[in-house]
Amino acid sequence: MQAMEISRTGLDVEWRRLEVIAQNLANANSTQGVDGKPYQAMRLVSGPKADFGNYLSASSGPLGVAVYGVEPEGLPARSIYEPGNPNADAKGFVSYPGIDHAAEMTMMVKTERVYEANIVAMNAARQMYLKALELGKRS
Amino acid sequence: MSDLTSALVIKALDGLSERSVVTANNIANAASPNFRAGRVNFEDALAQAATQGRAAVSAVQPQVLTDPAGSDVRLDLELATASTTATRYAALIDVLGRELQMDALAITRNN
Repeated sequence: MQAMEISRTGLDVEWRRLEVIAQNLANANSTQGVDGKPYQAMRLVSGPKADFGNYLSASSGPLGVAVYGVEPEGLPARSIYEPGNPNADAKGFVSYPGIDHAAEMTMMVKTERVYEANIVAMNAARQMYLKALELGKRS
Repeated sequence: MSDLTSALVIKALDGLSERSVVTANNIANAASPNFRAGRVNFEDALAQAATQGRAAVSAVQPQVLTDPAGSDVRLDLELATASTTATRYAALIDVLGRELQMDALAITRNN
C-alpha cells in the first residue's frame, strides 16, 4: 500500500498549498494585521519526505512529499494615497500587502493539476491492489 | 506453464509494483524544487536472466535510477507511466491467475 500512502502525502501537501494561496488572495486588501503591519504574502515550502532515522542507510524506499514550512514571500508593500483611510500614515499613505496576483493564480492552477495527478496515481495503485486480490479467485 | 514462466511473472510483478511506488513518489514531488525523479528498471535484466534459468531470474532485483539534476517532473509522462504500470500489472495477474486455475484443475480432476 506504499504507493497509495505516497499519493496521500501529495494530496495533503497540495491541499495545504492551496490553503496558503487562498489565504494570500483573501488578504489582498488587508492593510493591517494584529501586529499593525500589512499582511505578508506567504509561500508553502515543500520537499521530498525524508526519514531521518534511515537517512544514512538509504534502505527505506521513497516516502512521498512533506511540508517544511510556510515562509513570507518578502514582496514590498504597495503604498497608496488614501488620506481618508483610518490606517493611513501621517502623509496620507496606506500600505497594502504586496501580492503578485498573476503568480498566485498560476500557482493555484499548478497546485490543482498536481492534486489531480495524485488522485489519478492513487487510483492506478488502487486498481493494482484490487487486481492482486483477484489472484486465486474461481471464475 | 513452466516453473521458469511463473518465476518470471512474479519477478515482473515485483518490478511493476516498485515502479508504481516510485511513480507515485515522482507525482507527489512534482512541485518540489530540485527534486530528481526516480526510474525503475528491471525488464532488461529480467530478459537476460530468462535465458540463464530459474536461479538467475530469482536473483534479479529492480534497479532504481534517478534522473539527472535540473530535469523537471513531467506530470503527463508520469501519469502515463502509472497507467501503463497498472495495466501491465493487471495483465500479469491474469496470467498468474490462469496458471493457478490450471493447477487447481489438476488437483480437483485427478480421480
